[in-house]
Amino acid sequence: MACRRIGCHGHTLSPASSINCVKALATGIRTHSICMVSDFFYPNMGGVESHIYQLSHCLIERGHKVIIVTHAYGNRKGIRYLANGLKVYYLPLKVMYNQSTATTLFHSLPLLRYIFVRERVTIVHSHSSFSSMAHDALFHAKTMGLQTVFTDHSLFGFADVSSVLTNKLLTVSLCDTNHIICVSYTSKENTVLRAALNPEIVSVIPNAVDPTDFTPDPSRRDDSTITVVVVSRLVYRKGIDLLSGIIPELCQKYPDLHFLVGGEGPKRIVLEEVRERYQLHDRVRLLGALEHQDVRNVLVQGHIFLNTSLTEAFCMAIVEAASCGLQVVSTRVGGIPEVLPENLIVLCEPSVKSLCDGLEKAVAQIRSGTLPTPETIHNKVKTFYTWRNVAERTAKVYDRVADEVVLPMDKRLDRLISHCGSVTGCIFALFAVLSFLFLVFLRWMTPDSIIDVAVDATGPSGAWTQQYFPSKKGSEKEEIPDC
Amino acid sequence: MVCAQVEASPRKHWQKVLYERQPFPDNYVDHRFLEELRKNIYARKYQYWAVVFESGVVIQQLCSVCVFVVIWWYMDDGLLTPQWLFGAGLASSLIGYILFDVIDLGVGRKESGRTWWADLKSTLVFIAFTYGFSPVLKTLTESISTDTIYAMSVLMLLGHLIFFDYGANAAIVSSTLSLNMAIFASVCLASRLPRSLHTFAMVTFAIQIFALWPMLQKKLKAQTPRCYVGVTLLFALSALAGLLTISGVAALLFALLLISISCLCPYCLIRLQLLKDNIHGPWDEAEIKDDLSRFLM
Amino acid sequence: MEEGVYRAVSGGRIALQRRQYSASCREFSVRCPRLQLRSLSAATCSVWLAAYGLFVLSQNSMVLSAAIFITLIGLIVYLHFVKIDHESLLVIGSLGIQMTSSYASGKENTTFIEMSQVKDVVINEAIYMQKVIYYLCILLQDPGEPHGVSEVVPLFQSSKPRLDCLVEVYRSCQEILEQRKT
Repeated sequence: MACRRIGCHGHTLSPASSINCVKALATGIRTHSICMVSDFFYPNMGGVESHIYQLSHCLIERGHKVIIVTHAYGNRKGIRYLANGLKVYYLPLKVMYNQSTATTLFHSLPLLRYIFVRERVTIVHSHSSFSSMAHDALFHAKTMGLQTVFTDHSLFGFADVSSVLTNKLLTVSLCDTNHIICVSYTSKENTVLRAALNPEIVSVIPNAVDPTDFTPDPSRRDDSTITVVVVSRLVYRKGIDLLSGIIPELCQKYPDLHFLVGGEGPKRIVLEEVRERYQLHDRVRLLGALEHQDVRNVLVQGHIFLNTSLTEAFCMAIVEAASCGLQVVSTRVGGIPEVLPENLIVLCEPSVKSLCDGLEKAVAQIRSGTLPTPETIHNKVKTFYTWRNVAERTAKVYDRVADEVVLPMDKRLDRLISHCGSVTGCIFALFAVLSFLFLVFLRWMTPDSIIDVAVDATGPSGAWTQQYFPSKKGSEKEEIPDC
Repeated sequence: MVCAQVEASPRKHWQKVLYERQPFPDNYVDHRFLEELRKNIYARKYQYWAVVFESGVVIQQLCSVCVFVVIWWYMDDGLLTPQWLFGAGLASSLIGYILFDVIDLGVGRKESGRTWWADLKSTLVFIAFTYGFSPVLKTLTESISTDTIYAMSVLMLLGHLIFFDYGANAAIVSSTLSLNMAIFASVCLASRLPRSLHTFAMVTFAIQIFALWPMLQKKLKAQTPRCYVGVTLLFALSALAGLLTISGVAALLFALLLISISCLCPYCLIRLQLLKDNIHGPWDEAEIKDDLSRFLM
Repeated sequence: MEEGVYRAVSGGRIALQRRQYSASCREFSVRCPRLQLRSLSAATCSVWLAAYGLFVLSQNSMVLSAAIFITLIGLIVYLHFVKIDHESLLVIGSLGIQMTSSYASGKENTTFIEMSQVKDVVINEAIYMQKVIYYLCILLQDPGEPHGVSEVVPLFQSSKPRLDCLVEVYRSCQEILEQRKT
């Protein structure tokens, strides 16, 4: 297909090439109208945000219609257009905690229903189990009889009270969802256990990185020394405490070893103390918070990338580092062993000793020159994960889901009660009934027939590719430069 | 290399890797699915009598509160003179003090490095201060209604029981808060006694029973478990006997409470332990087992 | 003069009148949904019922007369300051755009925007209450920046016509604006 041959730069793609692509694809492929819902989207930064953005672009390129719904970020509320006519609804909902909205299961129904109707949405795709808006949207979509897909981006334990409660809510939310997508096999196992799901309805589709953003540049690094790069938020879950043990241990052993730490967080103080205590100011550089576009410039300055995470569903950082041609040393936790082949990564146990051994092994390899060149590593890694591949596999999930039936109300209630335990099940069955009544009321107040169908900006008949009006249709357009 | 082998074989085996395109659908479920799942790896097996033995700490603390209230009742009714209480308390403290050193043959003392003289000094200072301030304590709560005082004492004693350090490693445990609540309750109750000498005796007694007695118990339990069981039983019986002289119903209820805590609760714990279903796997957050503080010494 | 019947976002019936005075001068007038006798009587009845309830409790007949006055004054205030009967937009290619809103009592509010200030007339989307609606708006030129927009002036704010009606008006406006450019 023509589409494949164009290099995948989700967001840098010019509209012209996407039109060609659409024309090539429009004949053979079923198209869907997809609504991505998550509390997390730009201007917030993170893995989920870039996943939604890149996936949406590649889906639009395949001819699907995609809109994104998230909550308002400060002054950014209302409706915005990103590149290629990707429409984003920033709904004015109250943010409660960690950029997640409050969940009442009801207050977001009127707006979400209005959007689903006016955009003629057929599939609702929610992201991240931490986002309550995503769960709300799943709940409303099922009430409205729309197909639902959910992507889980994180791992969760089973031991403490908070995870017991969240897992119960996830069970309720996913028990009648059509399909679930996880980012790694470990994440799939985790989600299947947490939500008591049939593993057949859970697909594994990894994240991707844009290989053109992460190219090696060996001239930028100083080969008289060995530089270890760490790029992560400086928080407990990223294992910064381990890092604070590794730095003095190895700096005493190797006088030519340097550390370059990018990122900000509450654990920065620990690293600063270590640096102070061992007088390593010239060898340990703390760069503070990094903009996404600066990450590559930091990565290419190093020889070894160190990841000390204590839990990780799919570690984008190590793929980015490997794409820049660095030797990766990482802890063996969560989905990390699945991400890179053994010759590109040194896996260690999450302890100071094991990580030091791993780093020493990597240092020895660099000194002996047995490592492949950055260029070879890059060429290998760039074939592993592409957004185009992710979009293709996701579209397959949509095709499958579109053929499935959404449970009618009585079956849905049965399923809730039989699947989620008698107490929780009954409570949520009651909520489902109330939400259905609320929907009936809303339909009576504003019937679907008086809701204007939104002008479609994307797709083969979109306003951005065709002249919908005699003159251009003006809209506030905003592009995110280089995310 | 692994890949080469896989490509050579006609029927490919599924691998748990993401970087390779495998000829399986995305929702493929292999027979190796969930093979790394472990259950109850940290679950502990409990022995019934061991749990009963451990419940002794709770019994002791309940009895301490009971004895304290009974003594206060006697004082309030005038059945017990403050001189007698103070004398008995002093004598038993002295015995306890000697026992405290005898049990572990002075090892603990050597480790802490405290001398007898230092102990005597702090005892004297404490007694002198309490004696001096007892008139103040007596009149401190005069403007507060007696009902409020009782309610407050009950609340504080309950708090004392809740926050007491029974040996569990939990966030709620705070021995200082627990002791402070008990002392507060004793000051409240003591201020309702007829004279300041009563108050003085009561507060001293509270210190003995809430601060010193648990320390002795802890040592007893660690060094001579048999002796500890005997002491616990004796203490429980005396508390019950004391309560019986005040109210038969209360004594009955208290006895039921003690029995249920020492016999029924351990039984329930062991039965419920069988139902434990704790799931572990590669998704668990790794724990840092190293001692990282050494790097910052 | 042409007249077309459309619907408002709320579902009410609205009428769009177009008058063409010349090639570069047109007037659009949107007649808002009429005041429903049903809603008027419902509001009056609820006030009176509440007043009667108070009267039963307090046994003070002042309450009843006060209620009558309140409804009368309320109605006058509503008709004079709130209820808009029709909104009109007069576009004169060489001069500017004039927006008039006429209240039910006959009071009129007029705003005029000079053509040199008008950058464009566009249809935009907004979240309004629990709805997402389209609205027509005039973009004002930022005097400092040639491509900047200093202000967005929404049109037909009280009648809120639906997209088909807006597209009608939009097309006519664009025709005139095109003429201006050439």
